[in-house]
Amino acid sequence: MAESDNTHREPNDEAVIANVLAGRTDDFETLVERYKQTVAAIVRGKVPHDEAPEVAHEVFIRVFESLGNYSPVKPFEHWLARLAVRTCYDFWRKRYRQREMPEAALSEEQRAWLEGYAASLREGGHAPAEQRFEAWELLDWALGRLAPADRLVVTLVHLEERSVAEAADLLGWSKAKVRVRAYRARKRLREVIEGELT
Amino acid sequence: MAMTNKGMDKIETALLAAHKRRPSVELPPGWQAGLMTEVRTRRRCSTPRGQAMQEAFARLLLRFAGVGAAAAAALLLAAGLATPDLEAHAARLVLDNPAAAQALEAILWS
Repeated sequence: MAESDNTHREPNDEAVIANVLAGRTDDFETLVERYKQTVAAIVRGKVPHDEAPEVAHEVFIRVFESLGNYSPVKPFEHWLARLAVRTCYDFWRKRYRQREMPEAALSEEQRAWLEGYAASLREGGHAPAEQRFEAWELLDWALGRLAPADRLVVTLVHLEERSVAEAADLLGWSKAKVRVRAYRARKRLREVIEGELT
Repeated sequence: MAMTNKGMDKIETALLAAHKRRPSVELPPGWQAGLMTEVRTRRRCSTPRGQAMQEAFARLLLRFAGVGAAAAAALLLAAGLATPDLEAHAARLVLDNPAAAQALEAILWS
């Protein structure tokens, strides 16, 4: 029996995009289904956890609105990732403009973790595993003390350990700018944390 | 007591590990349906009917630009003709009240 699987083969991204641009709006859902977890993974750790679904929603709206600008020189997923990173950046820029940045100091639990961990390091020990739960909340507090661009570049380069070239591509910056900004942002992050220990 | 660089490095390493342990983003039920509803709404408000309307408006604007310019010129002319002659007006005032002539001259030359 001859196989004829052409009709059952999933259309590639370019074909789906062409359909959407031709007016078949419902085909956009194919892209959403394919890439929603990719977008969720990109926004994870870059925006507050409880607001990540809304930011992911915004990413796809921007994708839809600017689909006509996509050129298949690079894979769609790459273009999508840049849009997602840009959306996260705009999220924090908006917060800064609206003065919605948290001004509160560390919580008692976070301070206790940090001081306990610092004390154990001075004594040559290690922090107990159960103390790590608040650590990423403490990290978010410290990241909140950085400008949006610094926050994003330090997340990409130091926390996600992406290469300078990759971060530059995602941000749309030059490599030199990424290097300089990442260095300064990391230094600032350490100063913020160290400031709580002195 | 300030933390040493080595100590800060270890804290940084711990925070890096914590970042990797963040919970995954769970997209809630209805998230996709809500997104597609908005996408369809935006499509209805934009291409192709919306674009056609924008193009039609631009054509209308150009078509009536000439008429609009002529109307503006006519209005300007009418406004100019309707404005009373200031000198004639001043002369009438003097004839009605000769004593006011000196005060009026002072105002005109000030």
